[in-house]
Amino acid sequence: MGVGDTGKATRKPARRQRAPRRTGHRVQLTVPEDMWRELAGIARAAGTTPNDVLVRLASERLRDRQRAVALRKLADQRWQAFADASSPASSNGAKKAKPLTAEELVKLSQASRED
Amino acid sequence: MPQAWDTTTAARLRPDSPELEYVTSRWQLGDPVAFTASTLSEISFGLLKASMPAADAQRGWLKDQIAAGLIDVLPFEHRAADIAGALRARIPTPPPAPKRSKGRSKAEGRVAWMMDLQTSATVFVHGYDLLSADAHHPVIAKELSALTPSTPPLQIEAPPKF
Repeated sequence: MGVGDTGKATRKPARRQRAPRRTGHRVQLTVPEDMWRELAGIARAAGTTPNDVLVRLASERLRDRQRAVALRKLADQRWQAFADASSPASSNGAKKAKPLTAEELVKLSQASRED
Repeated sequence: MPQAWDTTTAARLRPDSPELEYVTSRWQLGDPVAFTASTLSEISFGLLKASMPAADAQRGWLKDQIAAGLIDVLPFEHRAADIAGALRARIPTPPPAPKRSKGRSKAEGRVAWMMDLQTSATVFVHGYDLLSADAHHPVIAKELSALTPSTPPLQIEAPPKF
């Protein structure tokens, strides 16, 4: 309150923008200035608060991350199952076999075009 | 489950279509539809071969959607290539069809078979399921299950009625 201020409000303060009410863990955190400016800009355009924008962006990023982790897990599982089942070392006699000649290898690679 | 579209489904994606609405809604939910690189290759080939302004426009539009991230493109990389090769060694040629589909020659049928093997292998190894009405893909999925019995199988879903 400044000097000479009578304390009597002559006009109503602007109504604060409120974010949707959420339940959950309350936390105080330090947001880098440039990030906060960007959040505030998005919030103004969307008619909400920077806090709300922050939570929404985190929520979207978490959803993307969960999807990526689940995809990677299944992809790795499928690849590992194939690798285990088709490993050349698991083939009988692979280690003892005489190496193929270059001509034989080329001929085998061409089989894909001949079948 | 993340979903990849095979060529006959993916080719129907165009501006102002129910397919586009569906793809957009999946993207908004953070679960974008994917095409395989092989599928994109087939679509691009068909549009370029047509050599028509409308086909050029469609190809440009599709490229824009991919660049914007609406559709993910799954690469045919070393794992997919290895699996596709193993599949082809087990089933070198397409299963006999009751009648020659879409007027294809035997050679064209074999090219289509190779592309189907590549698509299934790519979708499988990236952890996706496949949306397809093609009769080949269930056959390939069955073979994949035989190759990798210890892992969740490749699910083939019929495309929704758009």
